[in-house]
Amino acid sequence: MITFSQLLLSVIILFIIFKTVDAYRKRMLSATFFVVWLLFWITGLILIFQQDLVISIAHRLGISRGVDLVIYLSLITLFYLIYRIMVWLNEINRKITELVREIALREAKQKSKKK
Amino acid sequence: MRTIAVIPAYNEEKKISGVVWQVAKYIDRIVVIDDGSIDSTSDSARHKKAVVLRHPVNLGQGAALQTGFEYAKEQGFDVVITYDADGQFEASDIPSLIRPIAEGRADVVLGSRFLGRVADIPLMRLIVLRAGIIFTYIFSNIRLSDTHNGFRAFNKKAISKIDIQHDRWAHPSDIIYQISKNRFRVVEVPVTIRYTEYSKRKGQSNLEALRIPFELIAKALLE
Repeated sequence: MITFSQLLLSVIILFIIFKTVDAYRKRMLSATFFVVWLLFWITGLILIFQQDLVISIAHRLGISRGVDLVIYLSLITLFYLIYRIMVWLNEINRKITELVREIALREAKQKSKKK
Repeated sequence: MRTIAVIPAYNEEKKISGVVWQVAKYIDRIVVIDDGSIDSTSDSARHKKAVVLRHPVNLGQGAALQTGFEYAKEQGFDVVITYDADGQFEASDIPSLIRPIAEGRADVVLGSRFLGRVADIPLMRLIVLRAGIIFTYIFSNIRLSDTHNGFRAFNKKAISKIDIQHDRWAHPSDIIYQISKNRFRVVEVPVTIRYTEYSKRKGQSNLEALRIPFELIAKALLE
């Protein structure tokens, strides 16, 4: 028997998977990201219907409820992703600074040559 | 001994011309870094001794200083001074700033408003600056009387080593940290700072200064 929450979550995940495949077809995602992202959501989809498995893993880790395990894992993943994005932004900022500096110095050289 | 002044400027069309003319009396060359201004700062900075480098977008004072340092390195200048574009400093202090380097006593000379004369410093600014001094001492282990003063002089050796990584607010602490790391010989000299209504409006606010510790810690964690 499928519950309403299982149905709702499945629809949402199927929609995300559909969008992911679509984005990959349009070459907006790298192959590595596509595979990791797809596996992540397929695992999620399976776990929605295998809640006993989630609960038994949670118990083995000393967590009383399966949903708590999911929340903890989600939080850890989110924090990690934010960290990665910050590192990435920092790197982009550094590159922009170098680029702008190079443009400024190059323009000055060209001007002094013209003189 | 060839000297150059690095002056970062962001929307300073009203003040930059006067600042360039004053500084030109004491220095061989001036490089103004127009940090993505949307006014006519670049045109206002024209002078026979001045070169204007233009950042196409605004990066921040730290990034502008480093662009100036790169220019000074390329051109082989012996002494580089950094100077603010808002007219807070007295150009007549430049010779005393350069002197310790000329005499071979220092690699870096830092202007200090607390050794010199401070005109109309607001109380909150005084508190924030004192906190900055303590903070810098903890992180860099250098005891200075003034750490966030933009009036400085560097010799060739110091300029070749210093690479400012903080584009915005935290760059003065970054400079002090690099001075400490490279064990440069530092001398502080008194300089006069004038807190005018214009400079107070244009300068970093006290609230923005609070960002500095966070920026330093964040950068340290990310790199």
